[in-house]
Amino acid sequence: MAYQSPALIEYVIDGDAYTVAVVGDWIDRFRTTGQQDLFESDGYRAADGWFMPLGGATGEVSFIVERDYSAHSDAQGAFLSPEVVVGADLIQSTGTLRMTIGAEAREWENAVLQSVTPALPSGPTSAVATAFRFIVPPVPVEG
Amino acid sequence: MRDSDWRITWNPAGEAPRVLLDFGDPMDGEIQRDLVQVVDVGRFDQATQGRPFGRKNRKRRLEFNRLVEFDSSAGAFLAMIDAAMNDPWGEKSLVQIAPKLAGSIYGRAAMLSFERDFVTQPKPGYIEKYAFRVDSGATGPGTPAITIISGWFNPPLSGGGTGSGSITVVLGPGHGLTPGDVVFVDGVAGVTPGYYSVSAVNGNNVTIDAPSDKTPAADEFPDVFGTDDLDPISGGGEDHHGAGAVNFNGTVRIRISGMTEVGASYEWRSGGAWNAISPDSFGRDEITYNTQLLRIDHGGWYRETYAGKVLTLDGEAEKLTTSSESLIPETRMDLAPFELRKNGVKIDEHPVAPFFKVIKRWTYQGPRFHDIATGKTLTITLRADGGTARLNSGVAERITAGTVQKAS
Repeated sequence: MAYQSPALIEYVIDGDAYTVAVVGDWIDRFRTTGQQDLFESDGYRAADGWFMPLGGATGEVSFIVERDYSAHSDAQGAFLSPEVVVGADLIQSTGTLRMTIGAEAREWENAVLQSVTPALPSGPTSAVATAFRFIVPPVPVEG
Repeated sequence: MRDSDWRITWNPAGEAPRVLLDFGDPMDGEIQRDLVQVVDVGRFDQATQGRPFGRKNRKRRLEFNRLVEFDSSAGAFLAMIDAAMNDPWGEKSLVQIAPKLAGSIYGRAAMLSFERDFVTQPKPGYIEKYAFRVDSGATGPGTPAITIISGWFNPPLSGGGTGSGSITVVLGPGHGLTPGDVVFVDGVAGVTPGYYSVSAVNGNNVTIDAPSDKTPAADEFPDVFGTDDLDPISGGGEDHHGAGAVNFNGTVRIRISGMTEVGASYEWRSGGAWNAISPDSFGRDEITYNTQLLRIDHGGWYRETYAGKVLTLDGEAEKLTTSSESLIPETRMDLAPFELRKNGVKIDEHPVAPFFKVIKRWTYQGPRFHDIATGKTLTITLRADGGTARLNSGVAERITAGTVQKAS
């Protein structure tokens, strides 16, 4: 179920901020994750084993942005060009993912946009639901 | 969605223990704690079946989740992002898994992953899922059920309190409960079995905010005995003549009330050693104390020749005749103040005031004295603090059974 974004979501590459979603845009499935690898002793009869975190935690920030279009043909056009959603092709070098919530801003530095996946939901509306998936270090900083 | 029966604490023994999941947190699903081992399969030529065997390098994971709710979606969104700032990457620490009713498990843990999903229904918030690698853990101190020795039902709070009342139960020493603990109360008449919080602990007396259908009306005052007229004072006599002292012995009746705190030690004394008191079920006791009430030293009396003098205890010698001189004897009260103490702390004191009269009468020209005492036996009322009022109905409404089990 989509909800209205409480945050301005921007992706900053080389000082250029690209707006992914503004406050009030329909977004969905906003999720953050993180994971790290462990060293775990392996071998016969290792029992519960000795383990140590190897660090290097990696995370994901993913969400779906939904845009409504007045005509189905417009939606199809947007579907064919992810650039339409944000005005640029953002799958390139490393940038900063910035969320601005009111007066607060949080940034994931060294964020990489891994995938942009537009979809055309079936139904009476003409919409494009574009899934964004950023690979980030999981700990954000205050922007 | 369910309420958490668990408390999972990261680094519980450290300076900044972090509760990742607390009792009562809404959960999307129960916690999981699975254990796997790698299984190898030996395959042999010509054998139709392989032979699996466990490598016994076991890996245990702990997974749990909770729902964190906020009033605004912006607040939830920001909190969800900020929550990642505290995640213990690159650390291995002790983790405590505490069920509400059983003993805790302590084990080493390292974080594997987290997931946080933003939700807006029914309230803005996020669902936080954690996965940890843990070892099998060691069993922590258990929390067995504690049998209630005794207790009573307290009246509802006055002055616009909750009105639900509470119970005070007497537990054995070393019960380990402190105010704020959550306990599971079971088997107490009038109290629905369930989780309640400890509001006060006074030695072995533990007061629990457990509403009871046996909660009586508030009783502000301890029970008070009336006063009666009691025995005459004995002592003295006719044989005391010449220089010397006359001792008057009498009875002091001590009535003590308000000793309602079950399990407390109450003692009284009038000088000397403390004496134990065994209050009845209403918190009262009555003690008869035989002692020397006063003493008159009349060293100068014999030599006086004024007939018919009346000596009173206030130190005056009244003349019954028209003698010209009066005599002031030395009188002495030997009675120390009556004191009451609870658990070694003095809580009441009653000074003794003379309420009787002693007459010494000189008969004509003879070396004989009459020492006559009249008055009333002293009745002293000492009041203990009363504390939480015991039921007027007494023993029948006391708590006599049940258990208390620490939950957190």
